[in-house]
Amino acid sequence: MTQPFGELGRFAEPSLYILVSLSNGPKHGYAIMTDVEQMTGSPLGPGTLYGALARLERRGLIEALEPEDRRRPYRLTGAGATTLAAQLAHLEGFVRTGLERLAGGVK
Amino acid sequence: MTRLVRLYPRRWRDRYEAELIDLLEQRPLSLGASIDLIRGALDAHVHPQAETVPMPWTHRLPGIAVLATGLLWCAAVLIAISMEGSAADQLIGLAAMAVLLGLPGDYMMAYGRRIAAAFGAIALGVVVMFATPWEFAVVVFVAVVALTLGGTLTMAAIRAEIGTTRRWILLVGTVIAPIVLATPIAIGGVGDEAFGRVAAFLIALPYGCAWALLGIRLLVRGSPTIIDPPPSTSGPAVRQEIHA
Repeated sequence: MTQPFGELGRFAEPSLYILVSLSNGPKHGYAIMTDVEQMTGSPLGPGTLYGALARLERRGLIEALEPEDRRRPYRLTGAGATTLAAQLAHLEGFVRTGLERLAGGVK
Repeated sequence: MTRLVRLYPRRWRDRYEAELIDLLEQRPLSLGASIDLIRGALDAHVHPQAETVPMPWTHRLPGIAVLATGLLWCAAVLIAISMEGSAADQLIGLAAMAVLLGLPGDYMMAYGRRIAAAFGAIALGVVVMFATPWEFAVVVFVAVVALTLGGTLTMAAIRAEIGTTRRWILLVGTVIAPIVLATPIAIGGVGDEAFGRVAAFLIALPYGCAWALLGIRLLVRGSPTIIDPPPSTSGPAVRQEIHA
């Protein structure tokens, strides 16, 4: 993971999942949790989810909207969208390189 | 589940507690999720994301006001019971006015009607007290004192975000119990200055101490003041404050 994800430690991967989850619209905590579970196949713990949400909010990558009852939706900020795009592009290159090398090795 | 959420730092909970509890109510908490929650709480203590912005000094004003009120009240009571004369009585009166002013400003704004109704009830009690025969007037006097002291203390306790159980303990321990204890002493020693001073000491001093304690709590935790925009019609929105 590259900056600013590198400094997030164990929250780097969950943070990426959260940004991807929010990329198609605002969601509250439970909706993010179920969405990430559907995407990755493994549940995101509540402590990890809110640890990552707090970090993303502090860095201005996401922002909280007005609460609906006790639920508070979050949405991606402009900086968050830019960071996510850069991160996904980086991963895309990484995946492509890996697949190419794997294909070359198999031959 | 709520107990695990309480492991998080207070300032973190001010910001995220409501939505986290809502999330936890959506699905049963597994052992793994419980451990994750404990890890999250530890992390929030070690890396306090919700405490990165220093609290504005204006948020400490209600605490300073309430603490000063409590100390002034205690000093006035101690001076009044150790000195005789009108000067001490005036000091008590000054401290009583400070109690009203010590109620945090935004609370006064948000609950203006309720506070007006409370003081209306107290005024009615005073009128009834002066209009009733002596034997009943004592009972009404005790009720008015309990209503006044207990009412203001309860409002301050709510403002300091003290839970219902602790609020009752505070109310019983510093208002109701002292009044129950001191009233027979005062009635039994009518006309006796020493008995009167003991009763005043028992009733008034715990009340002042309770105000000072609430002031310290408000001072440490901070709270929005009248300087901030009015949050909502449902009362001071301390929990809506975003410190992160």
